[in-house]
Amino acid sequence: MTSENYQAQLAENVPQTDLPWLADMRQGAADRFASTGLPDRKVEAWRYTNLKPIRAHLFDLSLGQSVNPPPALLADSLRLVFADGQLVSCPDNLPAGVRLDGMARTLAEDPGVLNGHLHGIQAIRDLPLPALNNALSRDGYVLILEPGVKVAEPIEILFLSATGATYPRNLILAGAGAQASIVEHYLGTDDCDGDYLVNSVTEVYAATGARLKRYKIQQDNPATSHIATLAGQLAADAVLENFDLNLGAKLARSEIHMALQGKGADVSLSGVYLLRDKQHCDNAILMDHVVGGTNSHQDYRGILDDKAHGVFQGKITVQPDAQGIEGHQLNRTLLLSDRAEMDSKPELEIRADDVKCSHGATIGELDETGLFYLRTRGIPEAEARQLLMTAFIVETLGHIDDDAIRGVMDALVSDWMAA
Amino acid sequence: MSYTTETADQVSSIAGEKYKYGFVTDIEMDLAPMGLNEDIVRFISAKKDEPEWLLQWRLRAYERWLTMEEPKWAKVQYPEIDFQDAYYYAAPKSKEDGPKSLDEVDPELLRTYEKLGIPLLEQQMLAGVAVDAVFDSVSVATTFRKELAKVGVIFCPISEAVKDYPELVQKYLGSVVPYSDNFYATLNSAVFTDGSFCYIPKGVRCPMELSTYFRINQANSGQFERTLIIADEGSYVSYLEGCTAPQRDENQLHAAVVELILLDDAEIKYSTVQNWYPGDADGKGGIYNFVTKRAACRGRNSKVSWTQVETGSAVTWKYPSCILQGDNSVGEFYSVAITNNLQQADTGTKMIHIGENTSSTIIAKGISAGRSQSTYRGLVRMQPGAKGARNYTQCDSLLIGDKCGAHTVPYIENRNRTAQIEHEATTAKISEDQLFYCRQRGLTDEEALSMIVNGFCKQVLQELPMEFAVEAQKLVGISLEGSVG
Repeated sequence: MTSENYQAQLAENVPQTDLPWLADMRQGAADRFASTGLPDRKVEAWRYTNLKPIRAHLFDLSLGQSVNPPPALLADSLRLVFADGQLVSCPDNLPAGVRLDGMARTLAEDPGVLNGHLHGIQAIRDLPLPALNNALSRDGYVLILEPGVKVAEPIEILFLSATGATYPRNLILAGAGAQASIVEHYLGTDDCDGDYLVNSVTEVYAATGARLKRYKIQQDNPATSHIATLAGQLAADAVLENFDLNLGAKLARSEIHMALQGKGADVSLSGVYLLRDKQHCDNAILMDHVVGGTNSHQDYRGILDDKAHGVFQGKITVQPDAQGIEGHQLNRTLLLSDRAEMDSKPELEIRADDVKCSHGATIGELDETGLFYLRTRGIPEAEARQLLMTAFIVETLGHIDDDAIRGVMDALVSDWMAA
Repeated sequence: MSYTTETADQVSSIAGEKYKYGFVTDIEMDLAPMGLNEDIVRFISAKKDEPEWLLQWRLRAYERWLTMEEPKWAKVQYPEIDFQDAYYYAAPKSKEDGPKSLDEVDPELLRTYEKLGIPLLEQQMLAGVAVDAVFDSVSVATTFRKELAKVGVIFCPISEAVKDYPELVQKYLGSVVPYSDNFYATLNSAVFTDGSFCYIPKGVRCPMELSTYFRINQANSGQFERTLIIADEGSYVSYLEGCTAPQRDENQLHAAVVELILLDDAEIKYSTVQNWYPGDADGKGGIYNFVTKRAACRGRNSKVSWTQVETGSAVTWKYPSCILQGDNSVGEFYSVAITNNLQQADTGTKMIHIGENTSSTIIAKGISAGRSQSTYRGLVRMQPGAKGARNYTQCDSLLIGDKCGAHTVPYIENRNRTAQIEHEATTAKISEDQLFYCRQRGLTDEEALSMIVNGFCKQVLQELPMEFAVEAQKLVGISLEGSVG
């Protein structure tokens, strides 16, 4: 598709608004996307992922379908449900100091709280897919925590999709010392084997001392494309733990940009990708240590079967004069099939000297001697393989310290193994 | 620790930012006109009295080069190179028939080698090393040829090999690095002037270490070496390459190509110590070193080992690679890259596993000091047929000073279930505790640094042949001069 074609499609589909700043922002994003179009594999960040499958769906914007959402994953959660990108249900009784609402409604009722934050993270502003999201997004969730607010209940956001292209736009603003756990659940409807596209963006601003835990479960339908961008800015002593469980979609890309901007900021990113058939999953991470005295950890593990293709691109950047940094990164992958492929690119870019940075990557098959041992103990092969696979990813799952959420993840993982 | 004292001596002897080998030899040069066009390619080919097929090959390369763009992906920055502002052919003038023995070689040239520490006569007698010394572009002296010939080893300038062994050259030249490979290799294919050719016949273990000294002399003359080494079935050769260059203010381009071919059960050990002029403390001058080195392990059970100590050049762009095609073939890459002041190095390796049970080891140590930038960039790829293949990679970076950078960019691609890849990398600064301990034992800052860095690199340095290991240890100290205290 040419730039003019994009211009025409965008002009038709960018939502109208009375807010000048929002109109400018959307138009700016539309222009940026039109000027670049979708990145191809010559772009280093997309070296291993071909975006051709999503091209035809980009402007296939659909209206929310009426669907019956499945029961919540977590008991007593504060739950928002989106169907094909539009808010369909929202909790009534929110704790004091918490705003949890749809993006569209917030823009209509109280847009001032979003101005300056929405699409405000520089690192992703010029990237084609977040720009396209910014231009076309109609809804998403907004979570604003007043300083010092600690939300006891987990916050659960369900994005249920059946058709078309959706562009969820999410924003988390955590005031100083605020705490919350958020589960973002992307799910395809049962009765649909359609080919849809999700291109979501979540921006996170963590003020001084805020502590956030975010869990993303990606269970989109097997024929679909799921593109997600998470961008975070952390002030001093802010802590963010993020966990990505990738199970669904045919083409999945999870891109994370973290900027550690205050001393004492700490980011831990972990993830598990379990792929089979012709699934493709690309985890791309940019960890930017902007100032000294910040720490980061990455731990991604995956199991690939059939013709699955896994990609991990993790980069730690230490800016000049950002002294006193610890940054670690680990990526391990098991290949179960002769046709599976894993590409890993763990990268370090260090421009200060008082640092301890490391990365490790391994790719290999199930340990044959381990398998043999278990079988000599009378464990059937299938079960033994499952045990070894579980053991392989259990350390990464161990980063989840919330029992209820861990229980949900464990169940999903064992369902995958049993399938 | 005798070498540390020696290092200290070396350091004080080169104080004042003087590059030890920074002198210019005044010899009449036979120059092609400045610039690059089809006529220059024809001129070079005619000067070398080359057969038609080689001229056509060069011209195809030149045609291709015109359509190519300079690669920009490396983490190096340098001013745009004007490829028209250089001489592509510069040969020292010699007598009509060329020198028959060392006595006939221009004494000025021989004195240059002496200053460089390559006394040919002495080396013949003492070191037992055959030297194919390349002065600018034409090989002017080759020694020990007779003794090598006794066992059937061919070791000669590639320009001679083209005449004397055309069938070998035509068969293998460009078979590992095709003329269309990359911008610099393609340029090299069009305008290469000379280099070394080596053929080790079946079952022969080369009786001595082969070495060649490269040297850039004529101002503004890019140097384009072409090295081709063929190890036939069951043969073994150890090849040493060392480089120095005179001090010049204008940047000089060096775009060499090295091709290694290994047949069944063959082994090549290729060692490099590179200490070309790195530019002064303000980044003025220095060599641009854009090299393509690649080994093809075509035979079963073949083994290639690249060992490199890179301390020189203003900009280095170099990825000695192994194509592990034969079953059970082995590739090794041991590298130390030291950058100081404003030097930039983007170096690493590629291990392409094609055959079954192929294995590779990568040990890369990068040391950055001053305001330099050092990047490890590597690729490990397991092709679908690489059953049971193994790779182990370790790349460590050491930072000295808070203004330098160390980067690691590994690409790891596995398309075979039974292939195993392990990769680890660390980046850290030189430990204050270690420095303190050494100083407390009476070592100066420089001595302490040299010792710690040598320890950090030991895993690689010990892979070098003895003569080189000694030189390399000294180089480590010299290269880091002025980076502490």
